[in-house]
This record gives sequence, C-alpha cells and structure tokens, in this order.
Amino acid sequence: MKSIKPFDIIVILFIFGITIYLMKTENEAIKKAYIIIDEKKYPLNLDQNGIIDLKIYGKNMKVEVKDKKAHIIESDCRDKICIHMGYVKDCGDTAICLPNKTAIVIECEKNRYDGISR
Amino acid sequence: MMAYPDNTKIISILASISIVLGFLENLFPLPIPFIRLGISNIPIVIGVYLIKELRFLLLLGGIKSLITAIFSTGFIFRLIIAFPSILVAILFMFYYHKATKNYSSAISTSVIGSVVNITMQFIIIKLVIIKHLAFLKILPYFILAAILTGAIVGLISNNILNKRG
Repeated sequence: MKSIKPFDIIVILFIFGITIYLMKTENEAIKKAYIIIDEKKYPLNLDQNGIIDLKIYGKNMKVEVKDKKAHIIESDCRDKICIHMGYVKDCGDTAICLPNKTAIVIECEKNRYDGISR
Repeated sequence: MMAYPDNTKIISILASISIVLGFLENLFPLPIPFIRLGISNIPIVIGVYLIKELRFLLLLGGIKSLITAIFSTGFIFRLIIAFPSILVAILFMFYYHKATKNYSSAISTSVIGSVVNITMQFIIIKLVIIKHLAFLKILPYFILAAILTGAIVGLISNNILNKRG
C-alpha cells in the first residue's frame, strides 16, 4: 500500500515542533517588578540577586531576590503574613504587608489569567 | 453548460456525503469537549485529490459549511466561524497538494487542513467574539489534537483513494 510518503513525516514533525515551541515560550511575557511603599512605586530588578534592606525607606523589612523570584524574608509586623505569601514570580503575583504599607508586585502587559472574579 | 460536468457531479456527491457525515458526527460526542473527529472532512480531503480546479473545491467547502450551519443551532456563529476557515484550509490543502504531489499523501494534506482550520477558527473567535481570549496559551493543545484527528481523517481518505481503481 502506497500510504506514507516522506513529506507526510516532515510536515507532521514540523507542525509538531512549532507547537511544542509555542508551548514552551508561552510564559515569557514582559514582567516588571515593583516594591510599593506608602503608595509610592519603586522598580525592582529581578535579574540582580541579593538582599534589599528597606530601612532607607523607614521600614524594618528585608526583601530577597533570587533566581528571578522575590520574597520578603524579614518583617517587624505581627502576623508575618507577607513572609508566608512566599515567592513572587508570575504575572499578577503579590506579597503584601498591610501594617507596614508595603508590597512587592509583578505587573505584566498580559495577565496570567483571562479574568479574576473576586 | 456542459463545460465541467464531471466536477459538478463530484461536488454534489461529495458535499452530500460530507453533510450527512457531519450529522452523524454530532450524534457521537467525544469525551473531550470542543474536539470532534472531523469525519465530515473526509469528502473534502478526497475532493482535493479528485478536483483539479480551485474554484470548484472552494464551492464544495462553501456548500458544506453553509448547509451544516443552516441545520445546526447557532446558525450565525457557525457560519461566521466555519465558512472562512474552511475556505482558507482548502486553499492551503490545494496548494500543498499541488506543490508536493509525488512526495506527499492524503495524510499530511489532511493534517495541514485541520491545523489551518483550527488556527483560523481561533483567529476569527479572537477577532469577532471573545476579544480578550488568551490566544497562544490554549491554541497549542488544540493544534496537537488537530494533528491527531487530521492524521486519522487523512488515513481514512488515503485508504479510500487507494481503493479507487
């Protein structure tokens, strides 16, 4: 039976490859990280690893940036909710400390979700 | 009037088979939502191989999508989505078959048709109906399914074409 010919395999593999490529690159939206302190926005560079002390802004908090993720490691607030919020890495992620009026947020042009109902 | 009698006959037969298969297909839903096997496209893939003129092929696709849309719920949406996408898919299949006649079979022609079809449907849905659709996030999964179903449809069409003396 003269069924499968060379171009069949080439074409199917080609489309398959493009699809896998699309799947892998789908999460690379442009991300911008910010630290919000007292309603003011300061840009946060996620590429530079290190610990940022927020004492210069008058807060007893420390933010660690590691492997393009950021989290709050130290805070003088009571419940430590901001520390338990963990790493901030995807579009729309936040770690917020209400008593200190401080937050780390990541904003993207495209959101991770189509919409969020609250 | 007798300029293309063969093509008209072939078109009418293929279109009627395609419409009936489209009805049968709706009777057997697949477990995965939004994905159908597309057995109604078998006559169209066969048509790409039997009909040598593009305008008759486009006519076949147009008749099929129009009549299937008329007899289904959501007529306008079906028509808006299915009509242009099937025409574009037929364009791609026709020129692909023309370009690689001796090196390809109905399998890859059908895969190309189904992938182009689902992509066009997504583009139209994005443009007309759901404007905030996260396009590239779900399209790859649908393309993977389209490769699979397209290959199945192509295999069936290939067998039919080979049996035709």
